[in-house]
Order: sequence, then structure tokens, then C-alpha cells
Amino acid sequence: MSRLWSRTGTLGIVALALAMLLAACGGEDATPTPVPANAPPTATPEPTDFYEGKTIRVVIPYSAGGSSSVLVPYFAHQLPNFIPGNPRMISSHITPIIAGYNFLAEADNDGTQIMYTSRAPLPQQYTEEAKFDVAAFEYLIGYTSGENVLIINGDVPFDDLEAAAASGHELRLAIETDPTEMSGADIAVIITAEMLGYDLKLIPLSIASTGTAEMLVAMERGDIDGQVAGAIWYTMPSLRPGWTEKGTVKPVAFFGRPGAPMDPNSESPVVARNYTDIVLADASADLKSLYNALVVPEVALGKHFLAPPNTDPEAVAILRQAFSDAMKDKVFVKGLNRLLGISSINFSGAELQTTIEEAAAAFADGRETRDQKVLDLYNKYTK
Amino acid sequence: MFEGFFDGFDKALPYFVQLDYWMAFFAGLVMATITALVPGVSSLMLMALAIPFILINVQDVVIGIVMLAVITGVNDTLDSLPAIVLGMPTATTQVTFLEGHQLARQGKAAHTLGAVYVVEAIGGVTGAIVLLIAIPVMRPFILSIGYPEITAISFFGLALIAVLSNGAIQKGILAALFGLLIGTIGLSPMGGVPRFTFGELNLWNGLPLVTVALGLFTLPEMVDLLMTRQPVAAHGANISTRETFAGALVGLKKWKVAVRQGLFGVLMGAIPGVGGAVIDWLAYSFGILWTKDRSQFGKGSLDGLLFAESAQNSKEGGAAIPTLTLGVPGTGVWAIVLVALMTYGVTPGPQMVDQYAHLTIVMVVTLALGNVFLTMLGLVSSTYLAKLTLIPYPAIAAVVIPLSLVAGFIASTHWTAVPIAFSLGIVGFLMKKYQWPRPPLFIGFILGPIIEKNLNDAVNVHTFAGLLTRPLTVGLTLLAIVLAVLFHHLMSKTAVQFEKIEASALAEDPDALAPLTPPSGGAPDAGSIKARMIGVPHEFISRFPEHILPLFLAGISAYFYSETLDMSSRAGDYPRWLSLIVFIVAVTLFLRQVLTPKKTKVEIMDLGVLSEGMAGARSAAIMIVSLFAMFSFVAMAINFQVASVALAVATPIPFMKRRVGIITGAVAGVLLAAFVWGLIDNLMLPIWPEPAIWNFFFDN
Repeated sequence: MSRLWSRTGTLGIVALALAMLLAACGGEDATPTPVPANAPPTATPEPTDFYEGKTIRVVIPYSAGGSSSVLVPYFAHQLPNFIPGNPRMISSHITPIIAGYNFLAEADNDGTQIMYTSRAPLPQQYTEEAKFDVAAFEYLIGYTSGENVLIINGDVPFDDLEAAAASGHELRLAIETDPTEMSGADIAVIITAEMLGYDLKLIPLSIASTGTAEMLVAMERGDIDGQVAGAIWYTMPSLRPGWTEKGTVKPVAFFGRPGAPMDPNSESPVVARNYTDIVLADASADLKSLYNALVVPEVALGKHFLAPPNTDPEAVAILRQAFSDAMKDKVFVKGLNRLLGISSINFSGAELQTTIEEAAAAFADGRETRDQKVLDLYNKYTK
Repeated sequence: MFEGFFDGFDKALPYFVQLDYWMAFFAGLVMATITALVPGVSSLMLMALAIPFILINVQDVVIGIVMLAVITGVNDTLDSLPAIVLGMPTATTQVTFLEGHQLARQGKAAHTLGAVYVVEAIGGVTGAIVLLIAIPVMRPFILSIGYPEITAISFFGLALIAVLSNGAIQKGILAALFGLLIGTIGLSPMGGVPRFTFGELNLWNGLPLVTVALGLFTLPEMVDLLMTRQPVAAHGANISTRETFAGALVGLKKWKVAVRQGLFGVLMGAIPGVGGAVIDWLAYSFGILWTKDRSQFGKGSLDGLLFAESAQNSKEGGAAIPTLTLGVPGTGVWAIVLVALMTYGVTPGPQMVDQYAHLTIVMVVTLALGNVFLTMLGLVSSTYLAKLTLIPYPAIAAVVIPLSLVAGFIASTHWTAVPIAFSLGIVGFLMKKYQWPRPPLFIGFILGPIIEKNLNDAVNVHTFAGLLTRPLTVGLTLLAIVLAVLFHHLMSKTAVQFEKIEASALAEDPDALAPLTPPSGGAPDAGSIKARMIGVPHEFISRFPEHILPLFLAGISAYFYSETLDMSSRAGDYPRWLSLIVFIVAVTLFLRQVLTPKKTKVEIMDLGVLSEGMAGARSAAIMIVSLFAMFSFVAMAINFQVASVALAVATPIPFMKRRVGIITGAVAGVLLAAFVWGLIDNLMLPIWPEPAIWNFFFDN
């Protein structure tokens, strides 16, 4: 036993000595002592050398394997060419989305930590686990819009939502299994059903949050009649060539910015009416307020990048400029559009900041009573 | 369509004489090799790094896709090496480890690797060929597989428990139920309610697969081998190039089996959602069904190993089928290939054998060539790598244990990976020691979420009554039940064969199969309950360690049950009933163990404790606990990287002669430091856990 203690003791001493040595030599470099979150920076370096030799981490709050696994590496590969000092950019997945936002909220605000997201998590920020305020982040660029199109199988006997009520057909759509995860598009459909009185049946499906490809297969199998999604109508020619041309699927509703018409896709001239205008003109005050709080902000906010609250203004300025320059570069945009399957937009960080702050304020207004209302509507259409 | 397909050959053939093709091909092979051999580096990670470069710099879609196809399609070829040689299984090399590592212990590592690589190549080529044939015709098949059918196919996986619990059916069933129960950790599929997450957001996605495999299988095996202080291979191991090629010849002779298993792997791989991590087990059991003599399975069966390996490689061809026909990726890596294809303007569907037939043909040939090349690489290197089994394990453990902990952390990107791995490591070690089969637990853990999610979706779309009207669903479910009964019957016959062999061995040598502990004085071996109760207190105390697992499972299921009481019906019903069943089965097993006399050692489909009964095992166990405690302390006091290097340095010292131990530790420390700071930090810059103790004292 004494031999055992002797060896264990030796082991402990050697290990601790080595640990101390390594910590003194280089361990600190790998994990620097954390800078208190949100502390204001002390010096403002020149823009040209601000990012020299630095690494920018892009946090992805979604699991690996989705479209973000391709989009973010594209930015990480290309964007440094537009940033003075040509820093290195890498990506890290931190899931679930609340954990990703919590991480960013407490991350170093020296401009080395940013995040990609496809949706501002306004409802999630009011959960117990959330330690962030969506409006407090620094927004860098928005590069897609959040408009949505409802597409349905071609054999469903109506071409718009007004005709849906008269047809008597039960419209079966997939919805998130968690009511708090409903997107603005889901809520837009529910509001139009309330307003126009068509027979809507929402089926909670786990694929509702995973992507359009699985939903298309569910449509082909006849599990659901259609789906409401962002770029779906515009990516259909590449997802299912010929389908929109032959009328295998058709658009029946567009939820876009007020007054903005829907664009045709590359194979079909068919477009749907913009129901944002119809809801905002004709719906009851109750429904209109829901639409304004939950749908309109999402329409304005598509995929975007953001930085921690109180990030060094110099870094924010450099990054906003770099994103803006990249979005003006034809080669960069061509590559990005290829990845997106749709045309990107250049929604500046400053504009996005204002939009998010307005959206957050609209969302906060009357949230508690609205949450219950949304839950009631979810339950009504999923039963 | 077929005209376009044959034209595709004319367009495809010139690629194979282009320098660009071969550069892309070999770059992909290098990446696939790194993925297979370097812990913590995944295909997804390397593809994410490679994809912007490919999409921007490579204009020809065929060349661009070649590299991604190689990384995706052949990364399973070399990953059998760590499982067989080092006792270091991953989530997808469980069967490889169960059978292959035992063969390595018998000194047959070179022979085994030779056979494995050849069979993997046959499986991979089978998968590639079937992919080519299946693309035009598989669409209706895949569309006919909805949520109810995926649920029913998952029941097949559960039916395997009858095979994998052979010799300990009640323990196996309880292990599987526990696997299903821990599979409910995370957000509920219905309602998105966090279940049993202890307030940790990281657990919302469930327990990480890599960490569970690390805890349940890898750590217990490595610790056990470390405790032996011996090399993996027995004395007189036959490791030579001649043996490697003799193994390869055996693999070649089994080509029919490899093709059959390969076809099974393609079929399973083609069904999105079944999960790559269970295909090896499904294929293993499928192979057992075709075998007359089942007595060697679970004890180092080359056949069993080959059943899984062929299917493991062919499944990638299967996963490509829904990707290329419907645009629904079979796995995460195929999702990236899909995005890349669409970025190049190539649309999955019938045009893959018409307009883009040349691309499909090049992809298929590339997958086949990739398998063949890696097999050649594997065969050439096998003899040298198999010699690792001759090195005393403390020297190996000094590198692989900290590497595994780093890899486990990177996979989950959260500090909770370490306590989860250690906790499951204790469970895994106890299961090994007290003859609980671990595979059922792992299968339950993987299939549980698949079943719950798809069953919910199936009921939401079709209703319960509607499910009963679907012939395919009902047929598959009934078939799974029949298979479970059949498996149990077949394996019971195998158990009878064992008993006959043991009886004849005992007749020749009464000490050959001694009981685990000598029979105690007062314990009667049969009779009434009252008679049995007489010996219970003494038996209970002397056998208490054996009762820890059933008591632990009863306790944890009771806790889970109490937690479900606050959950809504949608989120809580499934884990509530499951925890109740686990509790009842665990208590029943506990009572059965207490009330029945101890049995002689039984044969189960899992590895036992190699170090059991060895001199110095207890002191080795204390030292290992000290090492892990030191690792945890340094990780919390300084940082994770330093802790892993310190663990590498310290591990061999107590287990080898002092001077050798110090030198080995120094070398291992340098290797770990190069890995952590040179490779991982530079390649991925992971977000290492904060040093809690340091922060407590020095950070406000």
C-alpha cells in the first residue's frame, strides 16, 4: 500500500508541476482570462491594424449539417478579404438557439465574436433560460428578407385563401410541435384563417422546423397539403424542376412587406396576393395587432449577423463596412446567391438595428395577453 | 432516360484521366483518413472547411463533388482501426469493437484488419453499384416510407435486444429500457418541454451520442486495459504482413456474405431517420440470423465483425439514394453534399441518371475507388498499426484516454461532457463487471428518440386508428415482433450449446469455470421462498456491489418519474410510463438477485472485465480514480487543455517502471500538447470550458 501511495504522490506532484509549467508557458494564451462582459474597450486602434492577426469566431446557434454549415463557412472564407488586417474567421456551433444567444450576450465585446442567425428569437428572450435582450446586440448586416409564400399541391381545389373558404376543403399544413417556436409565417396563416374562415388543420410535425426538403416529401406523400416558407417558391425550380411550371404546386398566399408584390419565379409567372395588405386593411383590431407584433417584424428580418452588446464601436464600424463592401462585390454576391438559391439583399447594420429595436418594442407591447391568445389559436387549429 | 444514362458514360470516362480529378480524389482521401483516425475531427467539420474553397475555386461540378463524395463515402473505412487495435470504439464502431477487439486480444489484429478492410471495400463497392441502379427506381420506395413505417422499422432495432441480451435477458431488457429512458433527456418532441435537463441548456439537444459512447464503452475498456498493465495482444501474437494478407484472403473468400450484408446496409441507409449508429447492430443481427453456429458471437467472431463492417461501408451508398432522388439527405454529411450540388445548379431527382448521369457515374466510381484505395492503404499499414497491440497499454492509454476526453468535449462543446462521460463510464464498468450487456442500452438510447418523434408525427398525421389501416406499418410491426421471438428462440438454442460445452469442460476440469465467488455457507440453492430467505442477509451483504446497478436504475427511474409529474401530458406521458416500467423491472431484478443463489458465470454478448482477479487491480483502480480526480481538478483550476496534457504525462507513471513511465509520460504529454494546441486550437478554436475554481478566486 505504501508503494501505491508513493506512486500516487509522485503522480500528483508531477502532474501539478507540469500543469503549472504549462499554464505559465502557454496555457493562458489558449484560454485567456475572460474579459468582463460588456466592459467598454480602453483603446481605439487604427482600422487597418484592428483585426491584424486576430481571429473572429462566428457562432452558429443551429446544429451542424443544415444550410448554415455551408453559408457561414462561405462568409468565413470570403469576408476577411473585405476586412482591413485580413483576420481569420472560424465558425462554432452552439445550440440550442438560446444557448447561442446567451453565449454571445456574455462574449468578449472586442469584435472577435459575432453570430449568424436566420431569425431574431424575440419570443425566446422571455423564457427563464434566456440571458439576453435581442435589441441590445449590435447588428451588422441583413442579407435576406423574411418574406414567406404559402405553396400547396396543385390538386387542392382553390387558388387563393378567399376561395379556400368556399371550397370546403380542409387545408392541412405542418406546424411546429412547440407553440412558442411558431414562426411569423405560421401565425400569418392562422390569422388569415381566423379572418377568412377557411378550414385550416395544423398538424404538429417535427419536420416543420427542419427544412423544406422533408416538407416537400411530406406533401408528395399526401401527409400535408402545403407549406409556408421563406424562399420556397423561388427555390422550387431547383428543388423540383418543372413542378411550378406544370402546376404540380402553386402559390396561394404571399406574406411580404406592406404594398410589395410577389415576384414570379424563374419557371412560372404565377404569383399570389400579398395577404399582409389584406390583413392590415380588413382584419379585426385584435388580429391586426397580432399581425403587427408577430408577423411584420419577421418579414423585415431575414438572415443576419450580429455582435455582442456594447461591442467596440470601431469593430462594429469595420465589420459593418466589410459586410456592406462584400454585398456590393459582384463575385461575392454571385457566390452567395448560388448558396441561398435566391437573390440576397444588402440591409445595412444600422437600418437593421433600428428595425430590430422597433420589432422588439412592438413585440414587448402587450406580450403576456398576446401569448395566451397565440396559444389558444395554436390549440384551436391543431385539434 | 436510359439513353441519357448511357451517354453519361461517354462524358464521365474522360474525368478519370484528368489531373484535377485525381487531385480532388486524393485530397478527399487525406481528409477521410484524418477524420477516421484523429479523435474530435469529424467529416462535417472538414467539409465545412473545404466547401467554400471548392465552391469558389472549382468551376466543374464533377470535380467539386468528387472531393466531398470521397470524404462522405469512405470515412467509415479506417475508423475500425482504433476500435480493434486500441479498444477505442466510437458511436459507429460498436460491433467492430465487440468482436474485433477480442480478436486483437487473441493476437489476431493483423489478420482481422486484413479481413475487415477487404470486406469494407466489397461493402463500399456494393453500396456504390446499388446507388447507381437504385436512383431511377427507389423514389416510390422512399416515398412509401412515412413516419409510421420508420417507427415500425425502429421496432426491428428493438427486436435485436433479444439477440444482444443473450445469456442475460432480463438485464438486457432493463438496459434497453434505461437506454430508452435516457433518450428522453432533452426537449420533448411534442411541446418542446425541457425534460430532465437539470437547467442545462446544453442538454436540450439530449445527451450527446459521442459522449454516451465514450462513457459507456470507450472509457471502461481503456481503464480495464490500463489496469492490466499488459499489451492488448496475448503473448505469441501473430502480427506479420503474411497474416494481414491471409486475413485479406479470408475476407475475399467471404465476398458473398459481404455482398449480402452490403445490400442490407444500403437498404437501411436509404431510409432517412433510421440512424447510422444502429446500422452496424442491425446488420450484425441480420447476419446472425443467417448463421448456423452462433456460439462464437460476442466472443471474438470474425464473421460477426464482417457482418457489420460490410454494411457500415455500404450504408453511405444507401444514404446517397434519398439525397440524389428526393433531395432529402440520408445523413448530415450528405446534407452538405446536397447543398453543394444545388449550389452548382444540379437538382436531385430523375435527372441524376439523365442530364447529370455523368456526375452520378463519376460519383459512384469515385465512391468505389475511394473504398478500394483506402483498403489498400489499410492493408499496407495494418501490419505496422497492429503492432500497437504489442505495446504495454499504459503507454497507449497515456495518449488515447486524454484524446478521447478532448474529443468527447469537442463533440458536445460543453463542460457537461466530462461529468456525463465519467458517470456513464462508472455505469459501463459496473455493467461489464456484473455481466450486463451494454449494446441494448446503446440501441435503446439511439432508437428511443427516433421512435418517440416518428410515432408522434405518425399519430398526428394518421391518428392511432389510421395507423392500424396501413398494411406496411402493421406488417413491419408484426414482423419485428416475430423476429424478436425468433431471435430469442435461436439464441436460447445457442445458450444450450454453451451449457453443453461448459458441462463437458467442467467434467474434464472442475476448476475450469469456477463461480464468481465461492458459495457462502448459509445460502441454499433451491427450495421455497422461506428457505431462500434464510441466506438472504449474508448473501445480500456479500453480493451488494452486484445490486448497485438495479438499485441505481430503480432510484433514477423514480427520480425521472417524479420529474414527469409536473410535465404536460404531451411531453410527460412517454417518459412517465417508461420510468415506471424501468422502476418495476429494476426492483424485480433486484429482488430476484437477492432471493436466488448466485449463478456461475454466464456468457453474454459483451466484454467482461479483463483485469478482474489480477494482482494489483485494486491499487490500479485507486490510481485511475486519482488520475481522473487530478484531471478534473486541473481542468477546473487551470484549464481543460492543461488538464489533458497533465493526464497524458501522469497516466503511465504508476503503471510502468518508474523511469520508463516518466519517459513515456513525457512523450505522451508532448503529443497531447501538439494535438491540443497545434491541431485542435488552430483548426477549430473550440470554446474550452471556463476554469471554475480559477474564476471563483481570481475573477471577481
